[in-house]
Order: sequence, then C-alpha cells, then structure tokens
Amino acid sequence: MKPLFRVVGVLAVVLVALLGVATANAEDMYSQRTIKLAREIHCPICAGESVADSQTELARQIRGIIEEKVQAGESDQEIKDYFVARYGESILFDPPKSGFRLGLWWMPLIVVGVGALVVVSFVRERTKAPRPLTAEQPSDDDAELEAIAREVLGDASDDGRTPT
Amino acid sequence: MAQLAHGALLLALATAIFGVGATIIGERRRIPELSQSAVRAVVGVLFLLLIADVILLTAFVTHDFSFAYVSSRSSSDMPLRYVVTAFYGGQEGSLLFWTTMATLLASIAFVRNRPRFPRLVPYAAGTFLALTSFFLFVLTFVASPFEINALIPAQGQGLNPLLRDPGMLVHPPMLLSGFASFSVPFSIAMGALFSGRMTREWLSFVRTWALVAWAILGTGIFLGGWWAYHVLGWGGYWGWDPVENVSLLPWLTGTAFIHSVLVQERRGMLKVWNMGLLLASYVLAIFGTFVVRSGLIQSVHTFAVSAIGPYFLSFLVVVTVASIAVMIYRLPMLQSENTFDAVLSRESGFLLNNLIFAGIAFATFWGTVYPIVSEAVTGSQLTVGPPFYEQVNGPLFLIMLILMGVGPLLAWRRSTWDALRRVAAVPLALAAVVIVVMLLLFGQPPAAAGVAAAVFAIGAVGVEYWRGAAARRRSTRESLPSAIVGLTKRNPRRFGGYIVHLGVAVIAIGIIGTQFFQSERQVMLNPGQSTQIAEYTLTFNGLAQSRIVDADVYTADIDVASNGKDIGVIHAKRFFYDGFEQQPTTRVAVKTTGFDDVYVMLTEWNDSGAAGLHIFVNPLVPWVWVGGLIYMLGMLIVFWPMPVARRVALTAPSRGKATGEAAV
Repeated sequence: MKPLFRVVGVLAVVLVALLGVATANAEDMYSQRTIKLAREIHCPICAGESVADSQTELARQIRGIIEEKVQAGESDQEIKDYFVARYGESILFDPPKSGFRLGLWWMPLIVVGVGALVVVSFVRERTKAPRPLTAEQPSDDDAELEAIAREVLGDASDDGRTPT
Repeated sequence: MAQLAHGALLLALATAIFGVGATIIGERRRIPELSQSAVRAVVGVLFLLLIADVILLTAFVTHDFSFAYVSSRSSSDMPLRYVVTAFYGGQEGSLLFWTTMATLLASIAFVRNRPRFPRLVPYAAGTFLALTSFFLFVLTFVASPFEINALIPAQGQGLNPLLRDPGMLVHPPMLLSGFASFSVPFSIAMGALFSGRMTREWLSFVRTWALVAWAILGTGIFLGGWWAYHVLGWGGYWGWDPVENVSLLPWLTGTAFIHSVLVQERRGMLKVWNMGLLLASYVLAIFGTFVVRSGLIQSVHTFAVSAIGPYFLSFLVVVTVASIAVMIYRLPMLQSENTFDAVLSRESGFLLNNLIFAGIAFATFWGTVYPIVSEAVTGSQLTVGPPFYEQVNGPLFLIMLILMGVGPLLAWRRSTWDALRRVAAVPLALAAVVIVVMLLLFGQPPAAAGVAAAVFAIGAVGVEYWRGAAARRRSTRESLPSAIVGLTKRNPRRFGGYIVHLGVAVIAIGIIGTQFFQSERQVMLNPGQSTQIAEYTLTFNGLAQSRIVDADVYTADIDVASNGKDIGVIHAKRFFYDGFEQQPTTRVAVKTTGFDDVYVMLTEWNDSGAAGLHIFVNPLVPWVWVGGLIYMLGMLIVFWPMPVARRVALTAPSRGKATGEAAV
C-alpha cells in the first residue's frame, strides 16, 4: 500500500511541476492542504497540540503521511477517516457533533438560552408600569451630564461639603 | 534552617487557627479585643510566612541542596534570575507563594479598613484565616517545600527548560497572585454576611478588592499569552488549553461582578446575584489553582503533579457548601431595594453583560470538565479543543463587544430607543463603514462583524468622553484636552473603565486579525535560499552554534524583506539545556512590522546546513499587546486615588446609615 502511495505521490509532484501549476514552492516541506489538515489533527502523545505544531517524531511522521495522501489526491475527508480509523475520533480537533459529544455542545446553548429567559422575565417582572418621559422628569442620563457640569462649578469651592 | 522554616509554618497554622477561634468567641461573647486580635493574627501569619519565604529564597540563592525542593527545581549552573524564579517553579513553592500573596493583600485590606468597618473586618479576617489554615495545613503536612534530602546531591536537577524564559519572571507570580487575591473579596463578602453589616459602604470596600484581584489576574493572563506567543511556538497566544481556561474562569465571573456591582451600588438591586458571583470567583480561583496541580485534567502546563488533589477537592466542596449556606441564612438581608424603571436602561444592559460573561464562563468550564464527565459516564477519553470554544464563545464574545458599545450609551433607570439612536449615531455609522469595507476587501463576514463591533465600542467610548467633556466645557470653557483630563480625574472609575473598554476593543481587533488572516508555511531552506510568504521575503543566511551558561544554542539567521525592501535580520533559536537535551525549547524570531508579525521558528536542520523553518505571518498581533497596555493603563486610572474619595467619606456615612438600617 505505502510504496504505491509514494510512487503515485512522486509522479503527482513531477506532473504538477511539469505542468507549472505548482501551488507550492520547491522549498515547502508540506503543502498548504497538509498544513491545514495537520491543524485539525491532534498529536496523539502530546496534550492539546496539533500535529502541525508538535515537534515530536510521531507528529512528524503523521505530517509525512498526510502529505503523501494529499499528493496522492485523497480528499480531506478520506485522510481524516484514515486517522480516525487508527486513533479514534479524539484524534480530530473538531470531531462530528454526535453521540455523547452532543452534550458538550447543547449544554452551553441551553444554559445561555435559559439564562436569557430568566433575565428577560426578571426585568419584566420587576419593571414598574412604564411612565412616559416628560420634561419635568428628565432622564437620569441628562441629570448625570448636569452633575458633571455642576461638579466643575463647585470645583473652586470644593471643600467637600458640596451636597450631592 | 529547614526546621526553622517548618516551625514558622506550623506556628503560622497555629496562629491562623487561633485567629478563627478569636473571631468566633470574640464576636459571640462580645469581646472586641479578642475579635480585633483576629486581624492581628493575619499580620502575624504574614510575618511567619515571610520568614519561611526568606529561608526558601536563601536556600535557592546559596544552592543549598539539602532542601529537596531546591535540589529538584534548580541547579548551581543556572543563571541567578531563574534560580530565584524556581521558588514558584514547582508545586510546593508556588503554594507557599500563593499563600504569602493572599495573606499580604489580606493584611493590607484588613488593617487599612479596620477603623471603617469595626464589625465586618474581624469576621472577614476570621474567614480568611480559616481558608488560610487549609493552605498552611497542606504546606506543613502534605506538600512541604522544606523536606530534607536524606542524601545531599552534589548538583540539583535544574528547572524545566520551558520555564527558563524572561516570561517566568512575571507571568507565574502575577497569575498566582491573581488567583490568591480573590480570597480577599471573598473573605470580605463572607465577613459582611456573618456580621450582617451590609451597608452600602461595605460594597465599595469589596468592590475595590474585587477590582484589585480582577486587575492582577487579568494582567497575569495577558502576560501568559505574551509568553506563550514568544516561547511555545505555535504562532498563537491562546490555545484554550485547560489551564488557560481555568485562569480565565474567575476573571470572567470577576468581570461580571465589577459591572453588576454598579447596579447594586446605585440601585440596591441584584444583591444575591452579586454575592453569588463573588463566591463563584473565589471557588473558581481555587479550582484554577488546583486543576493545574492535581493532574485531574491533562494539559501542556502540567509541570508538577502530586497527591494534593483530593485535599483541594474536599476544600472546594466545603467552601462551596458553607458559603452557600451562609448566603441562604442571610437571604433576608439580600432583598432588592428597588425595581426597574424601564426595560431599556443601563441596569438591563448590565444584566445582559452578566448573562454573556456567565455564559462564556459556563461554556469554558463545561468544555474544560467535559473530558472528565465523558470518562465517568462512557468510560472513554474525549478531548475538547479550540474549535469548540471558538464556535461557542466566539459568538458570545461578539455579543459582548456589541454590549460593550451599547451599555455605556444607555442611561441609568430609563432610556428610550430614540435617545439611544441619537447618541449611537456616530459609532453606528463608523461600524457600518467598517463592515462594508471589510466585506468588500476580505469577505469573511464573522471577522467583519467582529471588527465592526469593536469599532462601535471604541466609538461609544469616544461619545462618552465627548459628552462628558462638552458638559464640562459649557461651564468652564477650558480646552478639550484639559476637559478630558479633568473629567477623568473627577471620575477615574468611570472614565478609566472606558479606557479598559478601549483596550479590550483593540485586543479584539488584534485577535480577529490572527484568527482569520494568519498565513503559515513550513519550509526547508539551504543557506542563502529565500522563500516568500504574504508580502515578505525571508532569506536564510545560515545556522550558527553557540553556548550560553546552561545550554547549547542553535541560531538560524534570517533576513526579512517586505515587498523587496529590507526590514531587518531575525534570529530563530533552539536551546538544548544541560540535563534536558531530549527536551529542546524554541525561541521564536518575531519581526513586527506595525500591522503584521513575521514569526519564525527553527524546527530542524540537517548536516548539509539546511534548516527547517515554520513561518507564520500573524496580522495585527501587535494590536493585542498594545490593547493590553491600554487595558492596564485603564486599570491604573481606575485605581488612581480619587479626589472625590474625600467627599464620599464625608457624605457616605449618612447615606450608609440610612440604607444600612433598612437592610439590617
């Protein structure tokens, strides 16, 4: 299986180079697709790092495998499936939202949703009957700006006894 | 010396327990002298802790390897600055540091405020000492930094190489102090609940110390991001790693508190909720301290694992249950004094803000503990990575940015949509322009929405300053800059807070830049060879090997040019520390060009002199750091001694008494 990949990979590289449509330069160790895929795959032996970042030998090997598969023309899904089959779904940074994982995603939505309902009903319940704003009852905001202006006027004689 | 330090810790434990007893008996039997001595006990514990600290520090500096902790964390060939930081480089030392900082802040808080709150402070001191006795117990009997080596080794094991970085000088102490400092507002809150002195004055006391804790923790998190960016070498500064998450949790609930406490201050509402946020912040700070150490959750930050997990877990449970019980007991005192005047008001804005912060905190907590939940229920391991947090917290942060803009424009008590539209017109127009331009240039609707929301928030800060300055100038006719300065001096809390908002908005733009527009390549270059990324050309000049005091260093010399114009040389390094040769660490080369960071990491090399480089172009990362500095500036303004404080002190007692009696 593997030698075949390699042959196909080399052929593909040569072909791409000959056609002059190379998306990557010769010095690139990995294609952009490999880097993108490597970002989506956990390094199995390091906590929380992707195989794109990890400097371990295993991560390096996995990057190599991804590159081979990319060069062989496999789709992103096929490549991810290959690793899921070997390491389980946890190898993916963003595994499908199914099974027990649903609890992870639904819970915050439920909490925020219920929280929003509680906040809305709390505000409504505790709001007095609405009164229209009139000139005699300026909004608190205007009062605040007035206070700023007043404060300044009181500045000169600010002995701390200015009633507030 | 170790015995002396051990003795000091034991004595500190005894003093703390005495203080708890003194509070209880003193307050029960009404012996003020006794309950006042609880405050003195806090200072006494601080003094004894400092003795232990000095002994440990001396042992480090003199390379006294008879101390097991010293020999396992340092070696005599390490530079002095890392020898000193090794103090908190491990479990026991960081716990000692934690306890010292908590006690230091508590001493300041209690001694300064004792005259103002003669009934509350002894209770707060008693609570604090009860918490501290747990830490002292752990330090004395479970994880003592003063264990003695049976055989004195000739050389120590040295500090984990990842920790040998200038970041080690600032990030861990800030973060540990941040966690520790939440004990102070928590103790004050418990003191208020126990003593029943829930006047409006105590609120300003607890708010000040919640702000202190929030500011220290925020700075610690920020420095951690800066450190990760320069050392860990994955092109980012935040990875939603469990340890990062748990440091964010108390900061989030703390942020919610410092906003919603304003509603309680002004309107006497949300008392139960605010109390809950304070308790949650403390419990989460303990959770954060303990998760890192217990090995309960896997993380890249796990530098020390030990058996203290079960102790901390029990402590968490006891503190949570006890504080909720006290709160329920005092529920009659936590009645709301007011109702809302209108649905659309500053108050409801703060409630939404709290909903979002609590939501982000919950999602982050849930993602962090879900692997444990999964293992308990299904028996299988499961990892939760950045995509979860990005997809759940991302939209919540967007809403937060929008609220950050809208909130300050809402009037207290009642606002109208018309009034809001009037004040929001300019920021809204700015945001609209930004969103259109961003969409035309880059597409990426989420990024465009985020930047527009940040610009809106910045605009709102502008509007608030403009309105305040205009109101001042109507009466003083002073120049605009002096009006702004005068305004900020008059109300540093409010206008400093707006500067913090400004910093957050700038940080948000920086984060969006890296999140959506980062480019990345991994290349193998021969000496003299160049490569292209975005508008930058990088030329690899060659690899050099050198030696620093405790490591072999490999340095890749790289020329950077932007659009053909040379902009400088950078050095990507790899360190092989003595004794840690299997664990090389990187020093990333960063070239900041105003808008972008060209970020290069040396990953490998071969015998022919070719080097493997991992190159990122991180747009707008400098904005994150600049935003962080603005944020810290804002916090400094908030803490600037208020000229108004004098006035508050004179008028507050009458007001405090009135509401206090109503509450008691």
